[in-house]
Amino acid sequence: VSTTLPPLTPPAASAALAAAARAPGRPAPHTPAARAARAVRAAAGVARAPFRTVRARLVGGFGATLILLAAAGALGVAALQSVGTRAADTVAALQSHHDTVQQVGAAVLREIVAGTRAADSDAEVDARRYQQAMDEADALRRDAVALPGLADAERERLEAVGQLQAAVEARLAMVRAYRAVGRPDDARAALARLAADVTGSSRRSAGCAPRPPCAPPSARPR
Amino acid sequence: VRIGVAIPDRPGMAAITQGAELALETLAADPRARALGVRFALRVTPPAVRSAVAAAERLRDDPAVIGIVGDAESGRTLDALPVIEDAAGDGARALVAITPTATSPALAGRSPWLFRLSPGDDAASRHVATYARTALGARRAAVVYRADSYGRDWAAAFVRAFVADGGAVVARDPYLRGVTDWPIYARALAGARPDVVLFPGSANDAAALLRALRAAGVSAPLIGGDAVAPLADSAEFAGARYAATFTAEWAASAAAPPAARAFAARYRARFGERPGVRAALGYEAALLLGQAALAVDLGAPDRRRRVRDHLVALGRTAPHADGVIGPVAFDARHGVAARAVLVATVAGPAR
Repeated sequence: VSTTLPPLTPPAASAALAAAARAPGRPAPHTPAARAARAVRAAAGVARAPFRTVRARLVGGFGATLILLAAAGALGVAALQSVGTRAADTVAALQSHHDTVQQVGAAVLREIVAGTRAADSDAEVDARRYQQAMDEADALRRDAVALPGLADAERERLEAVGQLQAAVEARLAMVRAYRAVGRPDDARAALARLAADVTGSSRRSAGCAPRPPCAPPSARPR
Repeated sequence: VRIGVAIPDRPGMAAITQGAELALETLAADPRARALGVRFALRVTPPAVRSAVAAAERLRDDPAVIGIVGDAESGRTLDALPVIEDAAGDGARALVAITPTATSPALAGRSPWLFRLSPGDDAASRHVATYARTALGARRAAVVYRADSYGRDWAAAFVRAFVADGGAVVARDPYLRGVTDWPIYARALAGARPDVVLFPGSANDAAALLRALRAAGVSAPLIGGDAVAPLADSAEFAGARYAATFTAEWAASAAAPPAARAFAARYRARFGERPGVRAALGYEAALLLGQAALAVDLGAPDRRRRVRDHLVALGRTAPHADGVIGPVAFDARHGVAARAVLVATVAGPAR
């Protein structure tokens, strides 16, 4: 859409611009009427309207800009602090997850050590320690599974750790049973299979394959 | 509307799915479903999905699934629970899971999205410990438990109750299929001379142990949890006992409510076999989910949350639901309220 305006002569254009700049109903600033009005207001002690002069407007504008900049800065600092706090929380949570998962691994190792000792001993205290180690490893794994921030893949890996734990416990029970029925050679062989299970599981974990190490898939409880 | 079924690929577990299928037929005949034009279907995770976590992910991420029947085992349920309640997504995709048979005390109050239809191991194992001490006069118990959360928790609760009752635990060993050599276990148990053998494990494994025990000359009765209920299908295992909230014999008795008798008759007619506790509770779980779905606005974006709230309200601000075994309401920790535990003996010449 195009609009055609009538041409204006320079004096007419100045007058039009001045009229447009004026607020409606106010006299032009340099006319005798305006000067008279200012004199009347000054004589009556009436205060000037704010931001009436260019200087006042500049001061006001810059002041407002500075205030806005200061507010934006304050908000930015607050937001940065919030992000910093959240980042610290996230790092703490990750550290907690890492610690818990590490603790699960350490607890399973302690369980294996205690179980191996109990399998080779008739002492009641060793059996009790093994039972405690089993309970502790299981409780830690359950705690780890319940952590809210884990990815599903990490949960599947913890599930696999539980299956490794089950395999270790069942193999150690077999070692004890072989000893109880007077078959020490079979007990040693079962212990060797346990070691192979654990080693195999570590290798698989490095390759991120969530598989229990013990039985063939068809025989494994599901 | 889909109802998810998450169960392990283990012998006897299919009864849960069969119970759920029967519940779908009941729901299809519900006038509310017809009036609303709602049709129900099951989404069963395929056996190839062995991980409970992976199974739960599939069901959670299917928007048509309103809730899950399962998981059937405590350990799997514990592993899958953060996925079910969508812990990583702040619960946006969370959905209800009603486990028919998971009984670990660790599940009690664990999640607002989990409901349990079986009494906890604490209650069941206390009953069994008292039964072993008083009815059987057992003083020495051997415990052979499945090496998972279910077996561990059941064994621990039984040992506490049995020892507190003055009994002695002479053996406490885990087992794992593919690792455990049953004849060796049986010979080792024979040396411990138990009066009773506790077996929180699976029916097939119980059968293998029973045969091995008999071959080793051990005549002590075996008592299992509800997972060994399928032993009742064979007279070979006469004398074995199991603790459960439902048996086909009980359902046929005058003590059972009409709903139990009707369910047993329908199940037998539909599948040609006796219903066990898994079938009964699979039916109840699917029926509860379907009835909850019919009671809420299925078009609402938060329909899964509404299903949960409906279940929470049962027996509190809303009437209880009618289940197969009896009225269904959930306590503050989402366990089924007031369910008795039966100790059943496999029929035949007692050993």
